[in-house]
Amino acid sequence: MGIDLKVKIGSLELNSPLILASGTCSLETFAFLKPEETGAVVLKTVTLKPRQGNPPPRLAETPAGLLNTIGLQNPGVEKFLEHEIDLYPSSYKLVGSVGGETIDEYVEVAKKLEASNRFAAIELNVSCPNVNKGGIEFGRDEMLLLELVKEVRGAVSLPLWVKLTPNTSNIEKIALETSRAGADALVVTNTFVGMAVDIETQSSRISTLSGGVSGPAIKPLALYLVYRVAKNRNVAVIGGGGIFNFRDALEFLIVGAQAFFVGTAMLVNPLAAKEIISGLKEWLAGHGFHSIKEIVGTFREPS
Amino acid sequence: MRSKNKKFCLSKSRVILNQELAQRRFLLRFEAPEIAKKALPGQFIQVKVGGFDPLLPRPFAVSWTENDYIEILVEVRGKGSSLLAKAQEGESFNLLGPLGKGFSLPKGNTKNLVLVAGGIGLAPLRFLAWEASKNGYFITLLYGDKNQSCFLPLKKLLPEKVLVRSIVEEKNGQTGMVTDLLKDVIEEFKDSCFFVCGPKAMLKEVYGQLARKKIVRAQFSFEERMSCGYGACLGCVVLTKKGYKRVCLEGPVFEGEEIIWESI
Ligand SMILES: Cc1cc2nc3c(=O)[nH]c(=O)nc-3n(C[C@H](O)[C@H](O)[C@H](O)COP(=O)(O)OP(=O)(O)OC[C@H]3O[C@@H](n4cnc5c(N)ncnc54)[C@H](O)[C@@H]3O)c2cc1C
Ligand SMILES: Cc1cc2nc3c(=O)[nH]c(=O)nc-3n(C[C@H](O)[C@H](O)[C@H](O)COP(=O)(O)O)c2cc1C
Ligand code: FES
Repeated sequence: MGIDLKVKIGSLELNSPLILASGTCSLETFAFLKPEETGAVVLKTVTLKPRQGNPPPRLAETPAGLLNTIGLQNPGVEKFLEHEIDLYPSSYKLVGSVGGETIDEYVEVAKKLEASNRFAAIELNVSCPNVNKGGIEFGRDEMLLLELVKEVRGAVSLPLWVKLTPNTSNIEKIALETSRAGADALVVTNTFVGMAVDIETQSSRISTLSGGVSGPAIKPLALYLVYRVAKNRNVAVIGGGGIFNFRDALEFLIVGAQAFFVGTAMLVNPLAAKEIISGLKEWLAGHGFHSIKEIVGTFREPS
Repeated sequence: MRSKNKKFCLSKSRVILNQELAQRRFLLRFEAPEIAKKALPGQFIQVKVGGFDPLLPRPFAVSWTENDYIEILVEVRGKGSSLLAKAQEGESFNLLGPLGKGFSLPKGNTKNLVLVAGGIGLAPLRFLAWEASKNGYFITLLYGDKNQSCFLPLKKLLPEKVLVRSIVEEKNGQTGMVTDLLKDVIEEFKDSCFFVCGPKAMLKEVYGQLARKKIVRAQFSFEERMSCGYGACLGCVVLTKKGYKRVCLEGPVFEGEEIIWESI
């Protein structure tokens, strides 16, 4: 089928609109992907110093959802670049996800990732709900976020993606300001903060009080956020949250996302990415479309 | 490229047999040729049950393989396992596997193996017993369970040669746990190699007993909440001397010496 899958995120051309979300893929995932059908793979967030992560249990299943409290476990940027990055296949566009507690930390990690010449873009994770410091605070505090984006923008020349938190009431404003500060794309959304209780023990089902909820349970919430952010049309939007099949992906494209990401679906079914792409191609062809771009932003507002 | 080397696969597999072995415990046989070919004792599969609820696949130890077939033993705990227990013969499920790092049989002179099973923890040890007995090892199984009605039919499940000592917690007369059994017999098996699977508290107690007797050759199969089962989410960790390790990828089998037992 002759569907043109290529999309552009700012100046960066991707083979397909499908992006693998940070924290939900590893080396093993690549056995189930094809480079020509994969837009990019965002690797697990790395920080300046190694992080051990939170104690188990780190996962709890909720109806149609997954509650996690991984706590950004990672070996630290130096070890990551020394021991791990070379194991990733070079036939894919890789995106380095950066986390931190201070602006300086973000800047330093971003510079190191850029210097490795292995990345097509940098994603700032300002939205992890599972760490005590940094992360989500940047995502919520506009002034802090603007400063962060400006500083990183000034320090690296790779395309800069900013992954926003849904756990805020003024996402439109945050999105607008972030793009003005130099972000090339906004990634909407990270997990929603939530909790789950074990009724037998009257305690949290994960090792921390709260965690991040992902999966089909958050899809309508994520979709609405993507719609609100994409409406401004001043910056590329990569949308996702609960995408499990090609129909879900189409919804995000229709409300204005230029590309979409898939996370939890890959944990449930490692062939999800492949199945979503073939479903998309078939649907678009069947509906007379020739390219992905034609469906983006076609949403008709209720009158 | 390491990542291209598919060690596990996804297959839609038919249930060939579903048999109630004991109260709330079932044996399921699947037709899964690719998994059957590759699986080693201690490895597990992920079984996808239902659509969005339950959402995540459920991990089960490979308990036996032959030709195109694999078996798992399922204890009914919650939604996923009870749906699986109701599976009809002929019904298909998506299976991912074989996953994880399994047991390794001792090389050299050690020919005596002791398998310590708490309840459904017998599942992976059963596969090990079959492999080990084919390879000329002498096997003793210590098996403890909650009560007589959930007691697994050991004769049916295990090779004849396995020497069995078992115990139930709730019974008139001799009662106790598998760890009490171990206490009674540990002296006889000081030169053996131990393989242990069961609830975490039991693993910890067994490790403690073995450590006090300076028995270091012991492998433990761990359970932890999982989502992907293939190393992608970092959700299923256990604390080791080298930091958190993924139970699904670096485990589920770990050497006793690797684990920080205070964290269990
Ligand atoms: C590597 C591995 C191998 C396993 N092998 C077997 C096996 O051979 N036979 C077997 O019967 N079970 C096995 N289990 C446990 C099995 O995966 C769980 O019992 C099952 O996932 C429960 O699903 P559920 O939907 O029925 O229960 P849920 O509704 O999800 O939970 C019911 C109860 O079980 C507990 N639970 C859920 N998942 C796990 C888990 N992964 N580990 C520990 N407790 C859990 C929950 O805390 C809860 O109390 C294995 C687990 C792992 C990690
Ligand atoms: C287990 C797990 C780990 C995650 N780790 C990260 C992370 O390190 N960095 C990040 O930016 N997002 C992380 N996320 C969030 C996902 O990238 C994604 O934004 C979120 O799960 C919503 O999409 P989904 O419903 O498709 O999974 C993680 C999600 C899960 C489930
Ligand atoms: S279950 Fe995902 S890493 Fe182990």
